[in-house]
Amino acid sequence: MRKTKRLLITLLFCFSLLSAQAHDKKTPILVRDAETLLPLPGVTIENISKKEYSFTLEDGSFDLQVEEKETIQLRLSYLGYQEQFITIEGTTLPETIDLHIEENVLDGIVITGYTKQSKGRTTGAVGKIEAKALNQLQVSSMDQSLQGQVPGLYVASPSGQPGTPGRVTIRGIGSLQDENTNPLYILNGMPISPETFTSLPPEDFEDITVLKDAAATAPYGSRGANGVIVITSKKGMANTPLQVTYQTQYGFAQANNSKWDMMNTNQRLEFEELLQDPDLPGWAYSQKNPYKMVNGVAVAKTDEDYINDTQRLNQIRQTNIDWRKKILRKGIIQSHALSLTSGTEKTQHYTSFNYYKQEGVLYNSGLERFTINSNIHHQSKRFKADFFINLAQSNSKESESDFDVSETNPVASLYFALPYENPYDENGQLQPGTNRFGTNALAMYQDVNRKTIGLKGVLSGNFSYALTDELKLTSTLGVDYSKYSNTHIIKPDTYFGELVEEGGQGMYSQGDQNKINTMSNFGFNYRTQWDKHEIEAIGLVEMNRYKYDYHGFTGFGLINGLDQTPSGITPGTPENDFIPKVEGGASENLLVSQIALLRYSYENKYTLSGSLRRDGSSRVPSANRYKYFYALGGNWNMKYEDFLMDNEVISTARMRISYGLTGNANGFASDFGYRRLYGPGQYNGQTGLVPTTPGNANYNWEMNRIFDLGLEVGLFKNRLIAEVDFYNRITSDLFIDRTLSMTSGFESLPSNLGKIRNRGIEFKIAGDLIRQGDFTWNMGLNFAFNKNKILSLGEEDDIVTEDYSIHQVGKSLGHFYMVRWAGVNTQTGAPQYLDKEGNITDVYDPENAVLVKGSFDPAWKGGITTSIRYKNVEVSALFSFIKGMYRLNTGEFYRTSADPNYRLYNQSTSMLDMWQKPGDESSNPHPSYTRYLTDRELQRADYLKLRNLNVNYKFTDLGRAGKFIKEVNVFAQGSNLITWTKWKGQDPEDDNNWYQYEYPLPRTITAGLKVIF
Amino acid sequence: MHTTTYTLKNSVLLLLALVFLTSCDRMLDIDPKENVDSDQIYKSVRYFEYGVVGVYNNLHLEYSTLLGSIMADECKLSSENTGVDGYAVHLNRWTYSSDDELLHETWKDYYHTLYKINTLLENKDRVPQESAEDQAAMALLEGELKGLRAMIHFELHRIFGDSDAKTGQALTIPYVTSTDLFQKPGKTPITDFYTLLWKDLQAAEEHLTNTHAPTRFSLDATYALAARVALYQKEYPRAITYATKVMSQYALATKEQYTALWRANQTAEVIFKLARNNDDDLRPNTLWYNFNTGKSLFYGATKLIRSYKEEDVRLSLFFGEKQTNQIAKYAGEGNENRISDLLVFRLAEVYLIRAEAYLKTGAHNQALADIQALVQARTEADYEPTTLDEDQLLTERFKELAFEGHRYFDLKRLGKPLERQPEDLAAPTDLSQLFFGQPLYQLPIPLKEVQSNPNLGN
Repeated sequence: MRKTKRLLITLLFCFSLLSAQAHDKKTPILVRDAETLLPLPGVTIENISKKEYSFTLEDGSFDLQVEEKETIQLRLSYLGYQEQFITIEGTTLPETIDLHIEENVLDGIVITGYTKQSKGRTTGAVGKIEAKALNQLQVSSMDQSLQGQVPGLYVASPSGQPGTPGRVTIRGIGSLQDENTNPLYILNGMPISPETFTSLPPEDFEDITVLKDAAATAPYGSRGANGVIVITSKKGMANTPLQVTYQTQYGFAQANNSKWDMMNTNQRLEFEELLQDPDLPGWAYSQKNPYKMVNGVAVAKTDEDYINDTQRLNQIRQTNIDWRKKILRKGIIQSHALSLTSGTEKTQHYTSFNYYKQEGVLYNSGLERFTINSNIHHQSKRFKADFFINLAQSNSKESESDFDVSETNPVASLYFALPYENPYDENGQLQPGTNRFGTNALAMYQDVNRKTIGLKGVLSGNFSYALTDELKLTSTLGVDYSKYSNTHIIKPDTYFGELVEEGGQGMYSQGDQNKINTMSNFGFNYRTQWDKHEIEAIGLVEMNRYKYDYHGFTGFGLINGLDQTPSGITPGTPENDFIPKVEGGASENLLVSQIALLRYSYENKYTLSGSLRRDGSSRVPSANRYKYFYALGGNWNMKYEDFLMDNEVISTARMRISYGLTGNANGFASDFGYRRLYGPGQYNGQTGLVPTTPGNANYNWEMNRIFDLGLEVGLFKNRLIAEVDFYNRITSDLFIDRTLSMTSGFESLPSNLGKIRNRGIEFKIAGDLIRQGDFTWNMGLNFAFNKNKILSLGEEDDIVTEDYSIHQVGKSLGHFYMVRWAGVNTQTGAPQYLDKEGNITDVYDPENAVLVKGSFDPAWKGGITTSIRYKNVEVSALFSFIKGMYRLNTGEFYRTSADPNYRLYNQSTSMLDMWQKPGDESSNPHPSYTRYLTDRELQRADYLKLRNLNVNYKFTDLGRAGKFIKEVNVFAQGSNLITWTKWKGQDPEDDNNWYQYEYPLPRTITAGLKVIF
Repeated sequence: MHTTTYTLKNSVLLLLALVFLTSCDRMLDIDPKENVDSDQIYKSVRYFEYGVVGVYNNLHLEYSTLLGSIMADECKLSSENTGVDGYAVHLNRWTYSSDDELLHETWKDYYHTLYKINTLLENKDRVPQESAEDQAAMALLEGELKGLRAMIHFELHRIFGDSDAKTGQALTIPYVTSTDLFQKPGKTPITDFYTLLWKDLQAAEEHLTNTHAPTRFSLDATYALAARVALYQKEYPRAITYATKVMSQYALATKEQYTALWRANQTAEVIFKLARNNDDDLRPNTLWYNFNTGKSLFYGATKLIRSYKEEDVRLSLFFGEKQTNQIAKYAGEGNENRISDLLVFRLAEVYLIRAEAYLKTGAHNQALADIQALVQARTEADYEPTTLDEDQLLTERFKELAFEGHRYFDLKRLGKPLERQPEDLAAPTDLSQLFFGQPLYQLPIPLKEVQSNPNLGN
């Protein structure tokens, strides 16, 4: 039996050999998708030489007849793929031809973390940022590069301190827990912390994909509730020789003070004269003041006094300091990036070295960062491995009291300092002291040091082993490790050193934090295709563990000159009061998950996807520990339907729909918040234990249900593309700090109550306006409108939170809750308010607070991109805008307060116009009245910003140097260049509702050079 | 081909399911490292005592000291105490509102301490008490907790309750003995409040045996508290009884001892104090001077300074040498150290309590004798007046207990106006008088409490 079979086969083989020799050479050639390696049926094959047309069959193959010594030219074209010209010689026929997907916004490969597919087969709402838009950006924090690029993605930068991460939200705020609004970052398959993300150098990234809806994020289950940002770093290309790229930039950063209106010395003295406060020189030495104060008693001035006073005033007038020039500086920025890439058939690598240095606009701040990235890809037979290493070391110097309304915050000092405050004595020495705000800031620059040394490393590997052509075993292993070492040094024998409460001789404080995030998953990937059907199935088990520990000490009694290390600390005794403080702690959490993903595609027309994920979190009480998350999605590629197939205008038409459930387990700030816990608390040096959390045994997951409907249209061969998404996101079992009566012992209890809805529309349109020879002008607009509404807050109708804000059912999140300002009484000069009913009253009563104006989360967000290319010159610009954001301008409050409590701060020039006599119409009350914060200080923080402008010139004809150098680019760029806003302050951007003298976001201008060898 | 794939797929899935699904549950049981579960507290008497020590942690009766002083006429606002670092400025200038941060902190801290006490008392029977020693120790701790509970409630009443001088239906803060997180108690009639308070005081008296242990709430502290409460309640015979119990055990400080009391953190005359070390951010001397910014917050009022005679030891002890209105009462052990304990009950107050109680019950001579003894100890001279009335007695309290947080509460319990001299005003346009019954005279229950618990609204 077996023998006959073998014989038959041999016979057949011989016959086929014979027949091949007898006729022309005829072998089937397989046409595949270059990325997925799946056969493509229906590809048009144009034999240019013979002017013949044919198509690939159902299995993606076509036959080609070639004479032995014939050379033919083929053109392969297929919708959504790049056209490919191929020259084939009769002697060597290829077995396969791979077509690459057309790279434009509507097409291309979408990497969604666990898998990747062409956009036509993606059911989720995803936005993509191309590497080109990022690689030349000069940002100290990577998240800033995302602003305005993808509709629905909003980055609110709270501080211009180099390297500070902003608050990134996707499709509105879906949780009341601040720390839970951050999306999940995935770098080459490995989850990384937002801090790690911010320190990545922009030069090294291939693309960034933003996953927005349930179909796209549900595979991440409880971690993807606020969207996912998938980052892919650059890789080496197969069969390429070593290519070296060097890029350098140099420039400066500067604060934007265009809204500055503080008083100068003459104005300040005039103001003091109006105040008639004998403690202030403007009135004490005024010719209009007939009295002088002697031991607290008013005595009439003598003629001599008047003469002396004039002299004193003249003396004071000689000092007129513009504190912007003293406290702020032009910070120098420089960066160098060197990358090497090469590849053989089996192994490819990309390695880069980055150095970045930025001086902050405040003298005591800055960032220096060194990064190494390495990406190695290896494939041998059925085994494939990707290794990725990112190591970063950063040294940052931080400004004191950032985010604090405090006199030690240099940004506050900038506004508080009086123009006649002379910082130096006759010998040119700084003279810090009580209420010498500007001088103190300068002294702090010298004597107080706050440093953070960060060591970060991401190591990850993606492995796959193909058991068969269709079934692969896959695994991702990775660790994201970071260690931060913070030191805070106050030098001894200085003004601030003496103010140290413990011993008055400076202090040295150090704290070390370790954060380790490990991730491992293991599973299979099954992809098969028959006839017109394609199925992809993925099953994975995954574990994410996070560990944190912290320890630190503070020592006192520093020895001058030995203050840079702990060696300067004097050992403490009860007598010298130098007893050092020691602290520390540790925590951890674990998430275990099982994941199943399934995708089915029919031709290129229909795709259905489903995902199911079971998550178990250690942060939830055991009764509620496990939750299932799921999503269903569909994609209909209408272009392939008969009615559109031949339409000349419409080149792409797709519709997406998805619905799913994602969740969030992190309602408590602490990993064990659901338990009733005790922590250490000493009294009189004795051991004690104190309750830290009341616990909540009913604590559960926060759930997000997201519906998304999207439409993608491309016109005129995708020269103009548009994408619209409508979504409805409902967060239920919302984490709310339920307010308790404090008689219970606690102010609030984290609970699962309430529901929020975020509903909105996202729109994107882009196209080449002009495409004529050497000249291209491309423009794009994207915007998102999000309407946030609180549907329920459990038993409550509203919850008044800190900082004059309220959550009220039926309204959007974070509305302001304040007493309303009703102007100044023209007869008495008294400030007036509205009571709850809207009647004017002279009495400030916080119980008259009502819900006022808008919230701090803008409803409209968007960006405009444009680029113009003419020959070798390319100019590109990015504008971004938000609308519907309100912030409380506390800075405005302190600079328009003449009341005795704040008049020692310098004031806005508008205060010269304050109420003085009956009949005066002014918005500023008489100085004897106490000022309270009201909705008067509430300001619109909407803006339109020219966020980035880049001019690039590419030298291609390099003459003789062309032997060594492939390409030279010279470019210049500016970030945060122009802001159009009504906000009265340095920068309207912030991540919260309250202006607190945040470090201003600087305007940066750099010039750069990029050479490819 | 397909069958092999499916077999493989199935076996892989099965394997994964077996390995992971079974072991997950236990993997997710992670215990905290920097905290212990509350059950730990009730495992032994020793741990229960850790919980009791924890009650004192962050018990900031400094708030009472501050409010009792700055609301009345003891202090003048420092011109440095302004701006964003301003501390208690609005309270002192009577421009405060119910959202004042200090009122909020006071209310929150005091009730949080009460929660600590109440959980311990609710669960005390879970503590295994095998030996007689254990039982005795537990009885002491129970007494201590109940005494503290009475004391803290009384502090809350002094600050936020209706004045004891109020006629008609007087209401005060709720006396909380439950740990129900969702309770929203309303105001309590003052008589009910005192009934509950005395119940705790009697329990404390019954269980406590320790004396002369000034850093923990002792039997002596119970007597002193009882005397103070009885005085506020106008139960004068009771006040006399308890005051006498204390006075029989302690002697007034000599001039040297008195100096050491304030300058060297010594314990003469001290019945109960809260110990402070450099872990405590809030201490009696941080109320008048901000060591972090180097700014003076409050000075002694001219009115107070002028009330002392030149030879009065208190004049030199309570005020600075260089700057005569600087508050120097809590100098601690030398100026370097800047740490001093917070005195809660000391003998001088008990003398003044008994004197007042005698006076009110008509025992004028006995009252005068107590005042005599005190003044003698402080000035080393006789008390000159030969008669005594309420105003004179209040002046003696003013002088002896300055900056210890009594003045405002004394005036409030007697329904007397708050009166400041023009030179003690922060700004010339500020109010110099506040009469009993005026809106700002009585401190309001903090806004946030009223918002979350409308039962405590007006």
